[in-house]
Amino acid sequence: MEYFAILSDAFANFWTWQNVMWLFLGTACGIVIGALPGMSTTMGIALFVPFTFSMDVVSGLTMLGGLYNGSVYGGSISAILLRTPGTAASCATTFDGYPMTLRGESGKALGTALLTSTVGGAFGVIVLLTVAPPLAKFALSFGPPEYFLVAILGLTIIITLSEDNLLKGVVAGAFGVLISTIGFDPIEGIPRFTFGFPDLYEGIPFVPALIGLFSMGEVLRLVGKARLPDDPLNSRIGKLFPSWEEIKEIKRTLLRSSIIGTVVGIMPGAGADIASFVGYSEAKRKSKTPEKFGTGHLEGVAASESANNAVVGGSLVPLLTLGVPGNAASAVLLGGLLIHGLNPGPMLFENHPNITYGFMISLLFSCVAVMILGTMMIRISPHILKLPKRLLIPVIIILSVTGSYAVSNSYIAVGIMLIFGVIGFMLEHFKFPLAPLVLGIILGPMAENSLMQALLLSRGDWTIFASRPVCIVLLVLTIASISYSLLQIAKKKKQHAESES
Amino acid sequence: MAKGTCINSDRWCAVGGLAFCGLVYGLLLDVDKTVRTFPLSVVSILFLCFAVLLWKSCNPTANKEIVWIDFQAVGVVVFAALYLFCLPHLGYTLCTGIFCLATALMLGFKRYLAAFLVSIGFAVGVYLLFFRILNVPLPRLGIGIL
Repeated sequence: MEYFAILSDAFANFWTWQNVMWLFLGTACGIVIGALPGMSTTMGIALFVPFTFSMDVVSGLTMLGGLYNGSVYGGSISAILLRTPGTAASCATTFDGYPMTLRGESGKALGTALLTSTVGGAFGVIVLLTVAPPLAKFALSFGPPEYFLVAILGLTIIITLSEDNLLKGVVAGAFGVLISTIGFDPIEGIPRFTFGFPDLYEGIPFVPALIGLFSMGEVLRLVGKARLPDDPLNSRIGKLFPSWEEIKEIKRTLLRSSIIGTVVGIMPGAGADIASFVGYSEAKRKSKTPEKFGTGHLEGVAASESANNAVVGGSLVPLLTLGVPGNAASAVLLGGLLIHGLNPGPMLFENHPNITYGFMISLLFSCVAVMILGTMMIRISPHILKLPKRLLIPVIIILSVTGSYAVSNSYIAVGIMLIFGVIGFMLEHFKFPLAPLVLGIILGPMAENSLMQALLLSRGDWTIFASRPVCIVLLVLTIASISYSLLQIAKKKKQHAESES
Repeated sequence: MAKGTCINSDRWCAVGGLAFCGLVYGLLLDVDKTVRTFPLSVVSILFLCFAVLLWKSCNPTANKEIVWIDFQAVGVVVFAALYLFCLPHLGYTLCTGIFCLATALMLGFKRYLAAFLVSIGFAVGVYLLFFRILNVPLPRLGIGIL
């Protein structure tokens, strides 16, 4: 009963016209920032934190929370319309969202992304509100051995994502992990593959590499299509939002991906990008029609978007209860809390319950704001499709260059973006999948860092990876994941051989 | 304009990949042993995969496909590289406007006035949005206007 009394007070503290105004403003800015390739969620929050200095604490946090939620959804707009993920979290959305655009169903894809983002985001915040303390305690028990096995489990997803050509998928994934080793070694601090460039000491900048792979690569493919007359079907929006029957078909995927996103968000170090891949992979694995994934399947969009938005609530669990950021975006939010004199941790709930719960309630309302503002933007955003491809190509390149430069104020980052654009184009041209490459880049540092730390802790004893209960569970899950996926591939090949004979 | 030739792309990818692995292995030899263990393991996996790919591509029934060289795509990459090179010298707005116009015309966009207006409008619009409103640093000339 005390908990509900606190919630009631916090709601009264939040529910003023000023806070609602800041909520909508923050969410709108977040959607725009998320939609712009190169403008990441983290960058958007970092840009707006200074604006909250002079604001009321709850107002400032409300605006930042709305921006966080809005930008994670906003990435789906450019992912679906231009195959250019606005944020890393929307990579997996391109797999099915863009093919839907090519079929003239961009409105349905955007509507599905909006609906599932809202539901996923709300789910994550409800979990945050109800089970934050015990979940954070469990996540804190993860050490280097557990994180290494989490990374390996994540890398086995490569097998699921590249069923059509397992060998090329493994090559792409391994190449991604190799790219992630560029920079300082995590233990000795010795540079690897930097060739004397100081800009590479911190490794390949992730956002420019991502922009290059997905944005520049698409631009180079568009060049071939630019010679053809514009297909009027491609710019057809079609109906907005899925039908009730379609919503019923995706409801299980929605729930599963929301749970996955929340759990991934709670784990420190794992972000919305990993959540969207895991959600997408699981949806494909559990689906009755996995062959439809990647061809413009509604379930694919739903899985990715609900998972990445559920991360918002999940990532704030360790931040608010323990002061440990769940990902880069929540790390910047930590700065926003400190600026207002709030020290995240267990005492935050004791000393400032109105502010803490008020912030969490504002996140719930930001999901409503995303729904309202997103519906308005669906009508506006497809007009981008009416731009002739010959004009769209330089526009995308300029946004990619601007975004890459803005990340680190460096021309090297833009050069890296161009190089990765060529790499992405060549890889897809020779039928190497890009998703495992991106997964390798994301999980490589986690795998190496935690492996080295674990071996240092155990003084070289590899049994550390099988000595703790959580490790054993993760090992079993990894072996089960690999076995199941290989069995599925073998089964499909057998069926294919039987049907041919 | 594209030009195509019929090759076994997997075989050439495998050969290129094996050469790449050899290059990376050579670079890692100069690095301390403890530091090179992890990347060396990854290169070994890559080497194995490319070796299997090469073996599979040597199968007489392996598919050959036409590989196209799209010269316009190459042109776009060259233009983008020139854009990057000119940014610190010409400033963001001017460079962006010129690049947008030049690329559109290179790709065959015939409506010259529309291309000019869109290029200038877009360059100024992006500058205002990123630099003035979002305070994102952009390359500028010494006079600080462009």
